[in-house]
Amino acid sequence: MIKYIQLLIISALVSVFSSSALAAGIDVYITYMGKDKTIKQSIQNALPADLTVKYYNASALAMADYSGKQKAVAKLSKAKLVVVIKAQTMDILGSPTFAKHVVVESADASELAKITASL
Amino acid sequence: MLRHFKLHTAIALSAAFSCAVNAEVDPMGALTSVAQSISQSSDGRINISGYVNGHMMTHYGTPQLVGKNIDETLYQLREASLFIDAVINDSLLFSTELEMSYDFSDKEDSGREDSFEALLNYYYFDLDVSNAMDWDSDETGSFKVRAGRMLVPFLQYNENKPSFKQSLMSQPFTAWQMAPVNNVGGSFKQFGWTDLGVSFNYSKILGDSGLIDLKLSVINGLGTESQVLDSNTVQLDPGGALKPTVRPRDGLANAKSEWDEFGDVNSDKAIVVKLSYVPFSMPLNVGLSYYSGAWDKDANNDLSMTGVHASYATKDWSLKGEYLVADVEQTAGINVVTAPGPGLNVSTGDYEMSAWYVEGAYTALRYGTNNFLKAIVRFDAVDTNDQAMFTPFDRSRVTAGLEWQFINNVRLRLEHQENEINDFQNAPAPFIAAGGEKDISMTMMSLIAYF
Repeated sequence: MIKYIQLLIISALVSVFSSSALAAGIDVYITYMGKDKTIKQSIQNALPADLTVKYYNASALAMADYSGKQKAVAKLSKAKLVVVIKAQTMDILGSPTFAKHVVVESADASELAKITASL
Repeated sequence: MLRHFKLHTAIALSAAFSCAVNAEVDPMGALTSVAQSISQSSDGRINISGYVNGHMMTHYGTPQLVGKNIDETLYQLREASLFIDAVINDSLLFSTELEMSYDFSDKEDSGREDSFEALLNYYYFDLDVSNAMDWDSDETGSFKVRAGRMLVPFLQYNENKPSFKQSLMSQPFTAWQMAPVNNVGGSFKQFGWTDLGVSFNYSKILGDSGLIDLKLSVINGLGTESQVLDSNTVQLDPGGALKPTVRPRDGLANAKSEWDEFGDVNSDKAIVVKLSYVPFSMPLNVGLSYYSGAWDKDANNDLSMTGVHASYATKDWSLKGEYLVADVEQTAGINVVTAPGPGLNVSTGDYEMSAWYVEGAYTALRYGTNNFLKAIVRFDAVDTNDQAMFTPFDRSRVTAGLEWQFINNVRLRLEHQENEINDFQNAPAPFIAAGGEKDISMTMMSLIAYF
């Protein structure tokens, strides 16, 4: 049995450290709560079209198991910039350390400027 | 025995007070920094977190068993677990938990064969299909697939089994005798009900009302090679030459597979469904869980379980509970477990199990950056066989506890339980002669640290 587990772990590690297995770079990950979908949509529309942008709805963490937060942070960390809509979302994620992130409270011009300046 | 417990409690409290007054002590903060360094040096591919807990536990009123006496104080490093998430890409992760434990107690008391144990509690791949396919999950919902050995999504406790996610160190009956999350007292390893299989998870935000989540899992399932489902046996030690072997009918703990077991006891897979709902208007989580699968070698006898869970949590108050009922198909017979015993090894045929708990907690004090003192009380009850004349696991219980986070992510817990066995007038003479009592108490002090 142990050999199967070893095989599984080796497969996983090979996958992890194989550069070909890594996805193409994600420029921006926008993370938000379900009630802030409108703000997310406005930011999405305002971002340059040539950027690779992905989205994560942190409301899903209400249903996640205990490692859900770590998994979410690991996923978001793959982006060059993490845009967090509202400080409450950052709290729900456990206030992690991202390489680069910006917290915005709305989609007002001044907040959008913070995102643009971080790109 | 109680004197030792009080002495060690005093030592632990003194140490905690010493740390508490020295605000610069932050071992978990240091470990968090190490974990962050590992993540950064692997370009975010390897993400580690973990926890450790130890306990000192004393029972009173349990029967003396051959090779086990948990009325003696047990000292155990119960879990030292590392959770590792390896990011393959932002849609695919590999997750595992390395669980280690160490038993400082006398083996004749704890009944554990090896002092040190290490195992991989779970190991699975997690694919976020909606993310990989670039779906707008606000419109379509989110769809994920998990494959490997995973925590079985059933009720609420199992998927939140680490001690730092709970307020009490001891587990409720729904997760002890029923859903086999852990079986402390009976065994001190493999915390969490894990099984091999595939799980499909769909969740969707329903407008402004809330979030609905459905998990459908196909797993090997619970089962035994025996002719009875609750085939655990213990040997009572009432003194003298006769030491009868009996089935304590302690529920489903023996029916879960070992962490390195890949085979199934039969060709039938079990189905597990969990449906949960979280409204946005209040901090409530409610859900329904269902399990169905054959448990015997010939796949002729089914085990089905239906349960509900609910939790309501504010910053300072929380209330949660589970109710679970299980139907077991089983052939009636005499001495279907080969060991001899004075009438206790009779299979009752079909039977029903049930358990429930309600737990409330109040954080009475907050101070410093993140420290608090919380009071907890839990009521629970279980009946592992409604057809049996007597089982020590037809009982009710009250648990009262205190939880003190005295430095960052380090908590000290004290808890005391009072159990009352129902139908004790039917207890067999050897059970009573071995020291088994109607009222069982348990006191435990534990230390939990996580990063």
